[in-house]
Amino acid sequence: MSASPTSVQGAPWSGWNETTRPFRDDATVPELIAEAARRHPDHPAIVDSDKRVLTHGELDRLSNRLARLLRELGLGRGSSVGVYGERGAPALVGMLAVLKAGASYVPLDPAWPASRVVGLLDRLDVTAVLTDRASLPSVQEFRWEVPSLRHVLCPDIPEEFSWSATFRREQVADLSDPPSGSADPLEAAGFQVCQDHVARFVRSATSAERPSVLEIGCGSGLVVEALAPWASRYVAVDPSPESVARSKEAGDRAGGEVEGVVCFAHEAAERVHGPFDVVVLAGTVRFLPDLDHLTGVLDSLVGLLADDGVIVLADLVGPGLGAGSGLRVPPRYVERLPELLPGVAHAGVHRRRAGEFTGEPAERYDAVIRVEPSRDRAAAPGREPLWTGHHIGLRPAGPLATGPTADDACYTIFTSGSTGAPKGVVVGHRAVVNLIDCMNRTYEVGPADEILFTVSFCFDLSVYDMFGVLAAGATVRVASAADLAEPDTLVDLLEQESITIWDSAPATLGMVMPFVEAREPAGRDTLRLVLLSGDWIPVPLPDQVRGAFPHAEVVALGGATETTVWSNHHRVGEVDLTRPSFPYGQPMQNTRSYVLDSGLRPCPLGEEGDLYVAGAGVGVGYAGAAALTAARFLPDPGARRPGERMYRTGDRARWLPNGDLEFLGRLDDQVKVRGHRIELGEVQSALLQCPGVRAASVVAPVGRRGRTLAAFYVPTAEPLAKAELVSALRALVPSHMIPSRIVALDELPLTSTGKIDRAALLGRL
Amino acid sequence: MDNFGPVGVASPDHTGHDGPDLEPLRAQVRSQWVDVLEHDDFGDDEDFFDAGGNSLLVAEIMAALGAEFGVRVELRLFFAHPTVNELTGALAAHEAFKAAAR
Repeated sequence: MSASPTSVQGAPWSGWNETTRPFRDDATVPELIAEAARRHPDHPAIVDSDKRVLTHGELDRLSNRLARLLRELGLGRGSSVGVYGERGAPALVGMLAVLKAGASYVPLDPAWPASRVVGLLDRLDVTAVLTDRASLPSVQEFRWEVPSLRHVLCPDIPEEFSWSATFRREQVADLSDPPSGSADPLEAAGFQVCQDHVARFVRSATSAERPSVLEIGCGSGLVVEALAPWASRYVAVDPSPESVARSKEAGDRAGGEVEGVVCFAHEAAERVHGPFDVVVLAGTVRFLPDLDHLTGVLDSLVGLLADDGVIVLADLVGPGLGAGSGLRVPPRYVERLPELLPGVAHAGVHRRRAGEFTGEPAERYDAVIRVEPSRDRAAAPGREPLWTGHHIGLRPAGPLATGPTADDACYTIFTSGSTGAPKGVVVGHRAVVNLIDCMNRTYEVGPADEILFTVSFCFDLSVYDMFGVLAAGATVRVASAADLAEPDTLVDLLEQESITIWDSAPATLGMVMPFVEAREPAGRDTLRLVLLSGDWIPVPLPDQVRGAFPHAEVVALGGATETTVWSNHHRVGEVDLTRPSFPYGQPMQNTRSYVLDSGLRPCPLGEEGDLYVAGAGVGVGYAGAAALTAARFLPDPGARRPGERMYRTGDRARWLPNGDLEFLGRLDDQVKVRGHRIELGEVQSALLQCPGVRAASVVAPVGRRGRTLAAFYVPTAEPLAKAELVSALRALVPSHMIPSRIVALDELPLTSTGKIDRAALLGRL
Repeated sequence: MDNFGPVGVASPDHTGHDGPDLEPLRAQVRSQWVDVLEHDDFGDDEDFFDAGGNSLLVAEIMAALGAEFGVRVELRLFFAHPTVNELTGALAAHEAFKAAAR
């Protein structure tokens, strides 16, 4: 039975739940930020490590243009857009643009294993991914694994094509010019073309008896030699004049006439006239700059084919192989070419038969692309480009007429899931607007403030750092990955730039403080607000911080991703070093906390129960997991508006006589390690997927300065080297989930009830 | 049972093949480890994390070593070289330390 509202609200010993405060509950995040841009158009909004400054006005216009393109692609309310990129201004602009279009963003970390990213995009049926130049090659490789993914946008490439800037005529021509004395540029590059195999494969791919053949990238003429005598016409294309000359000679020797054309692959369709029965690229694909370029080349070649013509791609190397440097082509890319290129009817991947080759060539594969009849090809719509800054710049800079509503989803952020699959927490605009309003008002954050943004945008702390700070008209100073690798650099930023706000897990600041203390103070007067959350805060840390930064106020905050970053906050005053931890402090505005028993009745003062959080911050639920959502998000017995829900945190807690809440542990195996929320079950599940592991259990021992992860496993045969297990885990989970200690056991100790005895495991460390 | 296998067990202590000039640095590294781990029950080839270390303690060690030598080092140097011997070698090879030693 649920408790009546009065009994939940009326906890007489506490003013805890008297938190109602009006806020703009119909506003959205992009509205707040656009208003700030109108107030302070010339004020810096984003500053990066290269000292590039984007003003609020520029941010507004850039994100408007991108939002317009997103909307043209059909992305709006109800869609979610993946954001897969490095820490930097482009990612922030991208996220804001997604929100302006009305869609929600899904942050994805390029450091995660590709299989994880693919799984998450697939589960959410994401149709578009925003990325950046540095991360684009990975997206080009994995996008084919996500059936729903149709659009890829890379705003920080200013040129029309991803490859324009990297594609240097001289460079490619150099590469293609065989060094004198060497037989072939591919061989010179350590890549053996399987000449006889390619010839046989091409012959089997076409039904024409005396086909006309176009070879793109003829090199020194190995394939020419094998195929020219059989062809009715043979055109050999290569960017290197010397290669073309050699190929013509090779044709003469073999008894077949060869026409030579000196040009690049993407120019061939303009320089050569068809139709051809066969177009061959043997090994050539390795020299192309990226998959987008290959797609463009194939698109142009399709137009040169006869009705029953084929394109043969020989000696392709998939992403699984580390062999050499060239372009790697995922087989799924080939198979999806008919979706990508309107003129393609079918594209087949041909694996090599076992025993036919030895070594690396056995791992390569070949492909045959067949086309629609010419009349259908002519009528087909063009292929969708990779969207770059060029396309975005063509859109107007004014705002879209419509955006999201306060009820729409703002983002989906993933947290660890106990069964092995991460959970996607969906949070709406109203919850974020309430948080921003509360923080900016309480801590008087305004245009003079500048935050040092150190948090990954895959964690929800970033939500305030980015949107809260921008909505205040303040500045986000994005620390780069390189800045974060060297704590001394972060200290430089704190001392030499006008940083006023720090926000991180205690561990991040804990790693910086030894470096602060090891240096002579210089310019430590600007830092005024230090926000710490996400994990237990070492009790001496606030005094250390205030000792080093005399104007800094330290605030301890708590909350869960499901209740929108923070639910409670506590201004740290004089510290009693004998206390084990800081109090929960005050609830955020419009946030209520309940301690309920198993029948959802309020627990009396001092009695332990389950902690629930209700109010404006409660998230929408878990993406694509209705049952889990229903189990964790329940009707709020103290609802202020109809339909409001409360979130079961999984924390055990009790009310103290002074009106404070006391945290009494977890109901489940969720732990915090350096601010990362980790389900031990997810790590265990990953270990069990590693080859050579029969059984496993994971514990999180508390050591000096906090928790670490330690894993115990039973090997199927011999114990494995730690490095081997770590590398297997890296393909499955993010690095913060990799145990720092991994110990092999003959068997896992069990309790009398047959469960794994974690206490006994902890004793073995 | 003490059958921890090759993982998690300390290999025999380093015998010092890399010359005597590394000894002072090794002693300093070891002494930093002892300070933060609050024990000295680890071998010079033992992984810091197996000896009970964590990344916050890494920061303390690297801040202290950096301050002592007046140089800056990336934390990842430690993570890539998590034993006393490896860290000693890596620091000795590090440009900043070479310059500081001159």
